[in-house]
Amino acid sequence: MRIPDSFTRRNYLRALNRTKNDLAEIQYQLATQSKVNKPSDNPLSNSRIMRLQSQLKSINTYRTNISYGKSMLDSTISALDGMQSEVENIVVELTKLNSPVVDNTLESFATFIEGTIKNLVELANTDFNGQYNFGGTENGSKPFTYNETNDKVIQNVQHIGGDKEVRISKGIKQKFNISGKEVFQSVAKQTGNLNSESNPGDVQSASSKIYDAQGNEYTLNTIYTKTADNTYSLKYTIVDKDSNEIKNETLSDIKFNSQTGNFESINGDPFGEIHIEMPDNKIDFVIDVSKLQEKSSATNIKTALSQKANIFDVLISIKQGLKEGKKPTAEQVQMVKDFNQHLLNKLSKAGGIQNKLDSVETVLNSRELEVTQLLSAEKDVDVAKALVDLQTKQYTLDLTYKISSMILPKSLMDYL
Amino acid sequence: MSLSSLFTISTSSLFAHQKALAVTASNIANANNPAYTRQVVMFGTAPPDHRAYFSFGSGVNVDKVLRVRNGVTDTQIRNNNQKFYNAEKQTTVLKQVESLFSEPSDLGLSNLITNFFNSWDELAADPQSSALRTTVAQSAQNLSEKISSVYSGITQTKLDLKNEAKDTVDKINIIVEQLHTVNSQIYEAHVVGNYDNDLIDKRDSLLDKLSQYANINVSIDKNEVANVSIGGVFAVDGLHHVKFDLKQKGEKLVLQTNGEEIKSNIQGGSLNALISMFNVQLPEKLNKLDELSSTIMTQVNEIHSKGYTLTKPPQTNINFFTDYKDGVLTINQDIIDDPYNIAVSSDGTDGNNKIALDIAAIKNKEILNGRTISENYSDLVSGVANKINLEEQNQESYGLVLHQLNQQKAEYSGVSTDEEMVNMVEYQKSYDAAAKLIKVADDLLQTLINMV
Repeated sequence: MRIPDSFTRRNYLRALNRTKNDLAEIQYQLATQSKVNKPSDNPLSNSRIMRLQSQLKSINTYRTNISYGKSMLDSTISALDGMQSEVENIVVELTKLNSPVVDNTLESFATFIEGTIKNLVELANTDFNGQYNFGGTENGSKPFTYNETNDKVIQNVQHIGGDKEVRISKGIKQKFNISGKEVFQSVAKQTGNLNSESNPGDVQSASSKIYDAQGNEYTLNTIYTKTADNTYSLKYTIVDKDSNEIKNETLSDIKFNSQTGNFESINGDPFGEIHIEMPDNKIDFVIDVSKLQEKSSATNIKTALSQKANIFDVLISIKQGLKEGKKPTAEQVQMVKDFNQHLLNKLSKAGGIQNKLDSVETVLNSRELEVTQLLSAEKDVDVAKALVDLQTKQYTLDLTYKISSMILPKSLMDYL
Repeated sequence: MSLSSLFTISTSSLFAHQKALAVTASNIANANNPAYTRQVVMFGTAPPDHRAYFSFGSGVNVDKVLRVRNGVTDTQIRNNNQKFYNAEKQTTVLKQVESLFSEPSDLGLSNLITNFFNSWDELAADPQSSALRTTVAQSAQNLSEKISSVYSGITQTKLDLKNEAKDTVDKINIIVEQLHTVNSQIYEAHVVGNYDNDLIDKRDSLLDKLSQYANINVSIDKNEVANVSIGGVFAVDGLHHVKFDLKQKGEKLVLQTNGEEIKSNIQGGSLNALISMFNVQLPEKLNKLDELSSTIMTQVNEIHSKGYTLTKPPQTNINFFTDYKDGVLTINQDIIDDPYNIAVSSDGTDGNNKIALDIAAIKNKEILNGRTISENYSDLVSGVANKINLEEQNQESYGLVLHQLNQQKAEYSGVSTDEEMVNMVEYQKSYDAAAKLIKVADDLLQTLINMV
C-alpha cells in the first residue's frame, strides 16, 4: 500500500475536525446547561420540550386563575358569613316576639330589623377587585340600594344571575361566584322539553305555586304557544287564592337553537329571565326559562322555586308590620328561617367550590413537579457525564496535536 | 559495433535519466497540489543494433511519462460529490430555517401561541381588568411579530437561495467554458502526438468541481476529450458548449439553455439542493405557516365577532384580527388602541367571560388536520429538524465514502516524497553511471589515440 503525503495529512485533519466538533458541542451544552439547543439536536426531544413547556405555562395560568378564584371566594364567603350572622340574629329576635312582654316594644324590633336590612344590603354590595361579588356578570355596578324614602331595596342592575367560570385545568372549567340571583331572588326555574315537531298554534302549559312577601300563596300559569320554527310565545298569569287573575302578560319571540335545541333568547335578550315585580301585592320573583329545551321528545314542563320570596321584601314587610304594631306571621318567620338555611347552603356551596379549587391546585402543583422533572430529563445536561466527556475529548485533542508533531513534517503552530 | 556507440548509448541514458529527474522534480513540487496526478517515467529500450550474428543494445529511451490515474475511482468520486454537496447545501439552508423558529426557547412560536391562548384564560378570570386586556393585546402582537419574523426569514432565505442558485449556474457556465477550452487544447496536443498530463489534470479537476454543483455524466473519447452532460442535458464536448441560465417562472426556478427551458433532471449537487429548497421545501414550510396563522385568525375571529366589547355602549361583530397575508397577521387597530374593544362577554354584561373561555379553548381543539394548532406547529418544526438530521447523516455517510475514495485516489495517484527521493537517488546514480561510461569510453578512445 502506497502512503502518499496527502494520505496522512487528510486523515489527520479529518480526525482533528471531528474531535474539535465533538468538543465544541459538549462545551456548548455545558454553557447552556441544555442538551437540546435547537430542534435538530433531537427532534423528538424538542417536540416533547415544546409540549412540556406549553404545559408548564398552562399550569401557571390555571394556578393564577385558581388563586384569583379563591381570593374572590374568600371575599364571598366572608360576606355570606356576615349575612348569615345578621339573619341568625333576626331569627333570634323574631323568636322573642312570641313573648307577650315585648308587645309594647315592637318599634325597637322594627328598628333592629331596619338596621339589619341596611347591613344585609351593605354585605350584598361586597366587592372584590372592584367587582361586586353578588352582581353576577353585571358586576361593574353596585347591585342593590336601600331606598329609605320608598322603604324598598332596589335592584340596580337588570341581571344579577350570571355565572363566572374560569378554566382551572385542561378540561375543567369551574364556576367561582355565588350570584345575587342565587342568594337573594326568588327564582321559578323551568325545565323540560318543548316539542320541536309541534305545529304553530300548538301549546304546552305548566303551573306552580309562588308566594308574596307575607307568605301568601298564588298560582303561576305558563302557556307556551309555538309561533314559528324554534319560536314560541309565552303567556303567563298569576292567580290568587280566590281565583282572581292579578297578572296576565304575553311575551313573544322566545327562540331556541335549531341545532342544539337550547334556549337562545327572549326578544334578543339571552338571559332567559322574566323579572316580575308587583309592589302592590309584594310579589317579586323571576321566571327562569334558560334551561328549557326544544326537542322532538317533548316532556312536561316543571317549575322549581328556589325560595318563596325576595328576602329584602320579606324583612321590609316584617318591619313595616312591626311599626304598625303587627307581629310577623308564622309564614314570614318561616321564610326568614328558610333564608337562614338558604345562606348556610350557599356557604356550603362556596366552601365546596373552594375545596375543589384547593384540590385541583394540589393536583396542579404535583403535575408541575412531574412536568418539570420530565422537562429536566429531556433537556438538562448531565453535568458530571458532560464533564467526563469533555475531559476525554480534550485528552483526545491534546493527543491528536501531539501526534501531529510526530507524523506531520510541521505542526499547526507553524501556520499560526 | 564501434567504440563511438558507447558514447551514443551513454548519452541516451544521460538524457533519459535527466528527463526522469525532471519528472521526479515535478512530482515533488506538486506533492501538495490536490489536483495533481503523480507521473512516472516509462523507460524503453532503444532499438538494438543488428549485426550478422549479434544484436547490440543501443541505449535507453523515455517511451512515455505516465499519469497514474484510476478512472473508476474518479467516476465514483464525482458521483459521491453530487450526493455529498447536495446534502451539505440542504443542511446549511435548513439550519438557517431552523434558527428562525428559535425553538426550544421562550422566544419560540410554540411558547408565544401558548401565551396568547393562556392570556385569554387569565382574562376570563377578570374580564374587566385593563391590565389583562392589555396582556391579551400584547401577546397577540408578540405572536404576530414572531409569525411575521419566521415568514419573512424564510422568504428572505428563498431570495438568498435564488441568488445563490444564479451564482452557482454562473460558476457552472465558467467551468463549462473552461472545459471547452481545455478540451480543445487537449485535442490539439493529442492529434500531434503530445500527451499533456497537466492539461488532463486540469480537465479532471474541473470535472470534479463541476460534480459538486450538479449531477454530471462524463465520457472521455479516444483523444482524451471529455463529453459532459449536466442533468442529462448536453453541456460540453471538444467542439461545442452551451450556456445555462436560471429563470424564475411563477414561484419556480427553471434551468434554461440558450433561452429555452430544458427538461433537465438535476438530481444532485448543490444546485439541485438550492432549486429543490426554493421550489418545493421552503414553499411547503410557508404554506404550513400560512395554514397555521389563517386558522388562528379564523377561529379567534369566529368566536370574537360574536362577543361584546367593554366599551360604552358595548359593540359586537368585531374581528380580533383584521387580516392575514404574506406572513402578516394584523391585529385590529382599535383593539391595540383600546383593549376595551376586546370582546369577552357573550351577552353584553361586563363580567361575562364566555368568549374569552371559548377562545382560550381553541388551544386544545383539534381544528387543523385533526390536530391542535400547537401540534401542527410542532410537526412543522419537527419536519425541519428531522430533515436536517437526515441530510446531516447523508452528509456524514457520503463524506465518509468521499474521504475513503479520495484516500484510494491518493494511494494511487498521490505523490509520496519518500518514493520520489528513492527514484531521485536511483536516477542520479544511473546518470552518474552513464557519465562514468562516457569517461571510460573517453579513456578507451584516448588509449587508441595514444597508440597512434
